[in-house]
Amino acid sequence: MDVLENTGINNATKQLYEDFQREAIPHMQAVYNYALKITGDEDDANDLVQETFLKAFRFFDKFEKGTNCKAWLFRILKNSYINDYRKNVKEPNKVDYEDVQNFYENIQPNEISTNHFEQDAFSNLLDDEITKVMSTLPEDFRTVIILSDIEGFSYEEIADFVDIPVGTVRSRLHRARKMLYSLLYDYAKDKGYIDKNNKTKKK
Amino acid sequence: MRDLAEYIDEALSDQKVCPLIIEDIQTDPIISKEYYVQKTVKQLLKTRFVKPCPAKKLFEVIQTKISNSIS
Repeated sequence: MDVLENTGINNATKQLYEDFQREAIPHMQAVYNYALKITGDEDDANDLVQETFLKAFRFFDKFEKGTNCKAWLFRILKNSYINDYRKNVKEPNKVDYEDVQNFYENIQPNEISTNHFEQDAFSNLLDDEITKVMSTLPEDFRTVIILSDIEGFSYEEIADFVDIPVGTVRSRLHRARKMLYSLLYDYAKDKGYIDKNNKTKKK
Repeated sequence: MRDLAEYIDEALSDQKVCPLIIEDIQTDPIISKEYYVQKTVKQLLKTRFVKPCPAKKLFEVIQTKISNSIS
């Protein structure tokens, strides 16, 4: 609170600032991590996080005390990303759920190689390659897989952030993993990390 | 498959179904493959993506801008 000492700012604003410091600022790292994952670029993530927190502070009087501030911040970030940031970069990547459904249904269990993980082709993939493949997932699916498997959020937290029922989180996550597995497998095969007999080649 | 996802994510509300899921994984080839796919992707992402270091400079900039906006 030292920064506002002797500045002539009224008590209500000081209180708002204090509440914001206590409620919102501790989530900055989580918000930044997520921004970095969805934009895939440090500068873009910086811009998005700045915009999110400045907007959050501007409208902090609208935040309902006692509710999940982290979820509120994620919603602001998501809306900023959709409305402002992504509009400038490219047209929104709309998810055609029918396409996703077809893609998902067409992956038959017997088409998926299930060697032991350590022997699997994925161990040959670089982190950048995984990120690249992950970026091809439809955004709604990418969001839940990032929040769950990278950020470690619970189904309930994701449901709150994304504003969808817990059951949808569960099914979307299940599909996202299956899609990503298939995409990674195809990528590894294309890159020659897996030979024609579905055996892993060492790099 | 609903329980399988919850089992993998350690989100089962009823722990009593655990042995049944394990049995399914061990005996049903379809469930076994599903389990492998889900678990592999979860493990891969969890182990490969270390959380980035705190963007301290960015956080300072934001804090300054917020302070400036009210002073």
